[in-house]
Amino acid sequence: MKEIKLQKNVLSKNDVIAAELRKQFTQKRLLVLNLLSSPGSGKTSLLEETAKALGSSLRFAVIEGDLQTERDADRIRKYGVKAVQINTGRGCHLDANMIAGAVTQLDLDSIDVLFIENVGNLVCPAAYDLGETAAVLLVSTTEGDDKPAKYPTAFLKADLLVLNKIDLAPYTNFSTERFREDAARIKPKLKMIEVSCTTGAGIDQWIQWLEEQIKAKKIL
Amino acid sequence: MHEMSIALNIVEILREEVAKENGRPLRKVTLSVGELSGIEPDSLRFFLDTAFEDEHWREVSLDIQKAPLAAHCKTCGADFQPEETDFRCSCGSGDVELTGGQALHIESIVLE
Repeated sequence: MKEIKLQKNVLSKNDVIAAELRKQFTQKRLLVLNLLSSPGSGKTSLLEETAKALGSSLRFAVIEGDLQTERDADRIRKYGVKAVQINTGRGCHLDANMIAGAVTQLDLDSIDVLFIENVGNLVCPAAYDLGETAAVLLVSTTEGDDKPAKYPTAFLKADLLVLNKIDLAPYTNFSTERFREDAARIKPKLKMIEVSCTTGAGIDQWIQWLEEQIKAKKIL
Repeated sequence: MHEMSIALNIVEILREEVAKENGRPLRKVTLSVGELSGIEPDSLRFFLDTAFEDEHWREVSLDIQKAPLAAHCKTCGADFQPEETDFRCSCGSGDVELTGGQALHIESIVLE
């Protein structure tokens, strides 16, 4: 018998590809945001609002991850935004290899921001590095305020927390205070922006955050 | 929730290791599954059992060890085990680095 100590990270292959992507994105000074949320939190709606608010001032493209259909990509394309759809079949997350394939269909030199809309799921996507600059976690008030306690890894991964559907909060038992406190228990300095993609409330703050990130990328 | 794809990743790594050892039969695999890795050990075992059969690895014992959460406080220097829903240090600081419980590793293998 022969024992071999491997100490090998099972996701090491993903992480190698993610590191190569990050290098490529950094060289092009491209802001790449990995958008995480449950199904139905409003990821595509947030991107639609972003397209409306930005107009032609910033150029962006979207990689859409879904189990099936082109519906989300079609919604984005209506705004003249380039969207590449990845259908994962039964896969519950995007991995770095899928992103490496999708970026070959994009002209990275002609955009300022690349959004990666991950598969709606707060568990698996949190485990996969996609080479992104930052991860944006979107939670909506109708999902309940217990998400930080139930899905700590998604909150740990997040660099920005966006709370959507604040216009619906009065009709639910969602407590913004409790949500903020629980999120701070997992990640104390996590910045939170409150928005409603329906009324447009708070979208200006999201756009401001986005512009700051792009500016930081260009200066670096 | 992505235990099936993780099981396939593991088999791929094991295949490479077995090939490096000129195909010596695999007898034991020890995995370390972090509490925060998002992987359910029972589900992973289910998919690995099936995957091992496909590889004709019949007499392989599978040891799945759970790796608990571990953290280091950058303020007071304490190493501690945080609660699942609260990663702050007992000193009150939130400037904490997680040092364990996130990863999924193949710790070791035993070949005949």
